Amino acid sequence: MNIEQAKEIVRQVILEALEEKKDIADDDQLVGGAALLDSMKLVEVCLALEDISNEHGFEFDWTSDATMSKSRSMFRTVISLAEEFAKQSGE
Amino acid sequence: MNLIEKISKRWQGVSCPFLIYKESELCFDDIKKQESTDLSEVRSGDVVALIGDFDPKTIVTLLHLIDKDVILVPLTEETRSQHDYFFESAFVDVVIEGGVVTRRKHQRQHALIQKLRFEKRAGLILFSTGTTGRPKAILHDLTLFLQRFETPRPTLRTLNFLLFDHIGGLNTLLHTLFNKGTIIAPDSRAVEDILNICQKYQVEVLPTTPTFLRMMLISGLIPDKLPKSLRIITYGTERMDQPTLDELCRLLPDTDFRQTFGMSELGIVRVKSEARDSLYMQIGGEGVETRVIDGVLEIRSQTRMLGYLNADSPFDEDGWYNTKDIVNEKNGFYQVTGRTTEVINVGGLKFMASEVEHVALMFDGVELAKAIGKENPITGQHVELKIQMEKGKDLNKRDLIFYCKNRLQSHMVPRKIDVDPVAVNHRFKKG
Repeated sequence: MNIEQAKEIVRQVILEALEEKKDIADDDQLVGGAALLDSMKLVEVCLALEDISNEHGFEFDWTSDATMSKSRSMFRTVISLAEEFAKQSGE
Repeated sequence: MNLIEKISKRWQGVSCPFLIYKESELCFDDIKKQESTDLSEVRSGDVVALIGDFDPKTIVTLLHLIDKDVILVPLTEETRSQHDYFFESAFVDVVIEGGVVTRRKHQRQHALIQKLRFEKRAGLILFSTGTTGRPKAILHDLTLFLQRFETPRPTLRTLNFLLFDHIGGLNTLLHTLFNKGTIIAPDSRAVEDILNICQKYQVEVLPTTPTFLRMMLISGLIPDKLPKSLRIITYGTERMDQPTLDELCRLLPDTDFRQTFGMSELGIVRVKSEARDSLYMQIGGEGVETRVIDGVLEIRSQTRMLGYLNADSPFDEDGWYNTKDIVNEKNGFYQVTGRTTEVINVGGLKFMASEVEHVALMFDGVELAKAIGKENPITGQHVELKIQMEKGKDLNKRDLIFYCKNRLQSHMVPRKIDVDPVAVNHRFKKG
């Protein structure tokens, strides 16, 4: 999966979690600042990415201690989450 | 009771603000002078539901109600969908909201409430998770509850993060009132707003939940946005994980992290963390004893509740309370590692799996339902639902989620639904 595909997927799952139409930029903050998501919405986004990753033949790991300690920052912006998602897809 | 008079004496000659609310700094005298709700229709011994927040008018009304020796039920707007159930379970006589006093008509009585009335003592009713799926009404003798505040203790500028209906939120309010401190009532509990308030008002103590602290780490706003004034961060109401605590300690080496532990049934217990980076804690305080039976923590407290108003007593004949918390013990310090019941805890908000299952089973075509609290590194847990459909029926997951959203509080809504045969020992048949 390339980064452009990953960004599109991340944008879609965020829009679904928000239940509203909105322009979402790559550098929009997910958490903190003018955040798009609260903690429950962020969980929803991660679960949706988990489902989509299974459809693409890989497992999106956002729950292990190792992932959280290493890449907590992946949740900060749309682009950082998309980059992590693309990276974990292994393509 | 003469609480206002007692607190006024303590605040005599003190010029520091007691409450910072919506950018206004109010001394205790300012709070006292607030126009209180007209309580002329409220009688001593009435059970009074006060719906509000830590705003000046609610606080002054609360103090006047305590002085009238009522049995107080603090509630917030957030739980409005459950208010009717709360009023019934707590035998509420009077509801006060936005300065309006409304008397409820009912003929029901409860022996524990009658006893408080007979002894002309004020009471406090709080709600906790019920093992049968509905919250339990917990009755405390308020005179006994307030006794712990008689001993003067140091106080720091504290942000009141917990809500008005939470024992921890009330404890912060009363501790600050009795000890001439300052509390800051936040408008929002979003990470950046809380950190801005801490900076603006030089907050020294921030009581939080592990979910808030995880969101704070993810936000990247710390350490840069954390004010130097902040000396202590406390966390409780849900289980903390070691990686999160380690990361917080690494990023904020000058901040003390302290765990809290409370059960509304037991009143306030004193807790001391083994170290700032340790999840082990000592539980004690005046009149509080602990023991571990079969790996489960039990507590006996002199400031325990009088009883439940809608359930049997949870205390054994010697007064021990089974916390249902599975613990590891080390030199008198305990680490909570799990629960023996099906309580789900999402970001510190607890409820029973059966509350979600009961709603799911009402949805057309659902034959069996099983809700679980699935672990996650953001809110601690979230709800996942396993559904078995009636023969020949298909499930539209979006419709079921929409159905749950209209009937459950946001944190209780399933975030994932699987259609699968539900294990026999987990079946919940439609009644």
